[in-house]
Amino acid sequence: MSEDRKTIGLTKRTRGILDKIVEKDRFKLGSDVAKFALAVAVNAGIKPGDVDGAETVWSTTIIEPELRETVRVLFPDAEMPYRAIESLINAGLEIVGKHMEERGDLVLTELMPTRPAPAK
Amino acid sequence: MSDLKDLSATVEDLRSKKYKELPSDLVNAILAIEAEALDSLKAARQIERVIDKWLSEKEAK
Amino acid sequence: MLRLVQLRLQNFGPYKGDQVIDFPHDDGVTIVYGENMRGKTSLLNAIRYALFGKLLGRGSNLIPLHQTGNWEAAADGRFGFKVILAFEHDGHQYELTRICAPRPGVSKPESDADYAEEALLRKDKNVLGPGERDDELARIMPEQVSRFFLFDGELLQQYEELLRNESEMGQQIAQAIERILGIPILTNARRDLRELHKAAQKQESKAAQKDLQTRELGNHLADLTEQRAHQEKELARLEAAVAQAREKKAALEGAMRKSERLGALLSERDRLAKENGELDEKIAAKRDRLKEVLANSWHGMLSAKLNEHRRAVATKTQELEARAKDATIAATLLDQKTVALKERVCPVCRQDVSSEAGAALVAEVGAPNAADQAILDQDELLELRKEMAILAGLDPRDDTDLIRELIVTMEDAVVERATKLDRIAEIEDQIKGVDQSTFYAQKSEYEALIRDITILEGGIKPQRQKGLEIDESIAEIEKRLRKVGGVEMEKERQRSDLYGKLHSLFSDAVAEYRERLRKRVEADATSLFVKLTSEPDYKGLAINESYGLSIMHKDGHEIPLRSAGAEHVVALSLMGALQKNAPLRGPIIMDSPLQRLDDTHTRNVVKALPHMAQQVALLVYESELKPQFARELLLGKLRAEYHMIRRSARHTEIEKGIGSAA
Repeated sequence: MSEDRKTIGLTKRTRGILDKIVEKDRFKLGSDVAKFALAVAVNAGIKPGDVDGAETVWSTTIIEPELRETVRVLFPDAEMPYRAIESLINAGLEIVGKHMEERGDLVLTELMPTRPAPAK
Repeated sequence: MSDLKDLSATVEDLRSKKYKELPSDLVNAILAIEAEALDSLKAARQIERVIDKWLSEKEAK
Repeated sequence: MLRLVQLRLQNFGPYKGDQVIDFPHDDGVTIVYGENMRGKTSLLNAIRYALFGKLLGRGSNLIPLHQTGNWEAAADGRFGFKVILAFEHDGHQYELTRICAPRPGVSKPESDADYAEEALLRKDKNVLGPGERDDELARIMPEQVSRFFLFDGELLQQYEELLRNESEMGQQIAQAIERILGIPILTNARRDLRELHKAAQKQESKAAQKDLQTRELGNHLADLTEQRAHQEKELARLEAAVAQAREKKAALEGAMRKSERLGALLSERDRLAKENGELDEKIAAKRDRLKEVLANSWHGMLSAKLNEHRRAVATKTQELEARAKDATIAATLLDQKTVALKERVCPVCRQDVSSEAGAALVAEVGAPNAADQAILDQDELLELRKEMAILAGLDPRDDTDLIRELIVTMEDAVVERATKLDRIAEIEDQIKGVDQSTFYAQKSEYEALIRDITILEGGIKPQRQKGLEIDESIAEIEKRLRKVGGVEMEKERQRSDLYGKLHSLFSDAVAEYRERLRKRVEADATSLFVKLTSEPDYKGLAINESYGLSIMHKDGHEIPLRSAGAEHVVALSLMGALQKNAPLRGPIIMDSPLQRLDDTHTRNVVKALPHMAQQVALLVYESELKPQFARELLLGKLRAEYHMIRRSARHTEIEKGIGSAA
């Protein structure tokens, strides 16, 4: 069994998407964007897979233990959590990229899960 | 000047009530001078002449 | 009473050649109908020029001489213009000619410098020399009085200043009104007598000083008169300073009223800019907060999924635990079955196990059962329990609501800011080219002036008091001199005494006359107002000491400010009353006085015209007053009608009658 990844990388395309988002100055750090994108991917039902052509952007230290555990819990079949995280981040960025293209802007509230009506 | 009638009436009224010792012809002369005058210096000089004349006439009596 | 006889224009404005208006000899109204482009304004300017010798347009803007001559005539080489006003006064016939012609030697004038103005006054066929001319005009037609003959928009505005009781301009008009009411005759007398009195007192002190017996008193008197001279000089200085400040204040008020609108816009703009500054801060703060919260947004975003997972694990755990229970029961049963097989006796009912039952038991014992499953389950249950522990350890924090709220608040603020920016841009556009620094400078100058006036007036009171005290001391000394003095001194004393009394008389007369006049003007204005107004509940007008006006309602209270039309009518009433009470009576010339009035007021005003002055001239637009209507209202009092005919863009003529306007 190969070892889990020590870095997290982005494809050329997702790198471009990340840059566009960062430019909008809505998030403090690029890694905050990555984690947001991960959540988007998970909520969209994406399952972790493989990422081709990823170039290193971050060290895995950007992922706090709790997030890693959460991914482990949600995807017990993924043997390498950091690899899963990397793939989810990239998938999430693709989703956000598509959203920006269609919407013409980054509308965060549309990327967040809708609130169910509060129970009376 | 007929326009002065009102003015003169007011002044005469006051004179007869509070300043009986002042002669009405003297007062009217002053009014006439002021009504005609455009130049205050001229008016003052004229009034002075009239008063002097009146005083000397009074003394002569 | 000054009575207009004829107005003749020569190449004035659009009036080419000779244009004449003959004023009827009988009391009544003359109407000149015209449209603005045809020269109504120019006719007014010509009248102003005739009366004041000045070419001033609206708002006191100077009109260039070079542009006043008729252009068509100028094209033919005839430059300059002339206005001749024939009038009668006090039994004499006058003809006043004002000429503006190119200077000698100038054949083609190009600017105002190329012209010279001249005025000629003929009295009963005798031409008066320049000195006599000026004296005569100052006597019968001083500008301060004749400006009240001409009732145009400007005068109306000035009257309206009177209605703003506190305004400086209003006070200045009040003074102007007092002037035409003849009060200056009394105030001048009072002033002259005072000067004469002081001079006499000086003489008195000199005479007293000559005489040994009265020397000391004489010295004292001389001393006091000198003190008084100083005090009066100081008082005069202060009063002059106040007058100057008040004049400035009046001018500023006028200018500031114009820039009131500017002031309002500037205030709004400054306020909006400030609010935007605050919004910027708010937006920046929210933005930063949002960034902080977004860093951990994944918590909340995944909480639903996690909850789902948590539920699934809980369900599975329950399932497995149920199975484990079943497994325990199954294991017990198996044991029992195994014992039953071995001993061929049922451990429960203690009956023998038959061969068939025994065969069945063998099959059951051999079959895979829940107990086997239970072992597998145990591993899974362990895993599940581990997962539950992990899930329990995860922070349930969910900031998604906060994120949404922050975003909404920020967006609202951004929109608000953009709206304010739009409005600021709108205002900037409106005030483009207007001098803002002037406005602010005016404001601070105005405030400084008010402070100065207050200080100066504060200084005036004690000065006056000082003056009174000195006067008393002087009177005291004169009293003592009377007892002690010799013959020579007595003469001077008597003279001084006489002057003193005369001064008192005229001083009292000023106050008395002022009050009488005010009451009379008030009564006349009221009777005129009641004729002019359409409101039956208005009882009349009240005039206070500074000629401030208010309308009195029949139930006794004052009506606060009102429509432009009503102000118009009030101003007309005051004007008519002043005309009646002025020692110098003259004509009234009105320029479009009916424009802002409704039909009822128009009717009332036109009907009242003959009551306002003996000679009334009206310059109106045909749309303002229909000729037929005017005839019905005035009947026999309408003495003459004229109308303007446009021959070309630069050539208008005045013709008798109403022309095509029927």
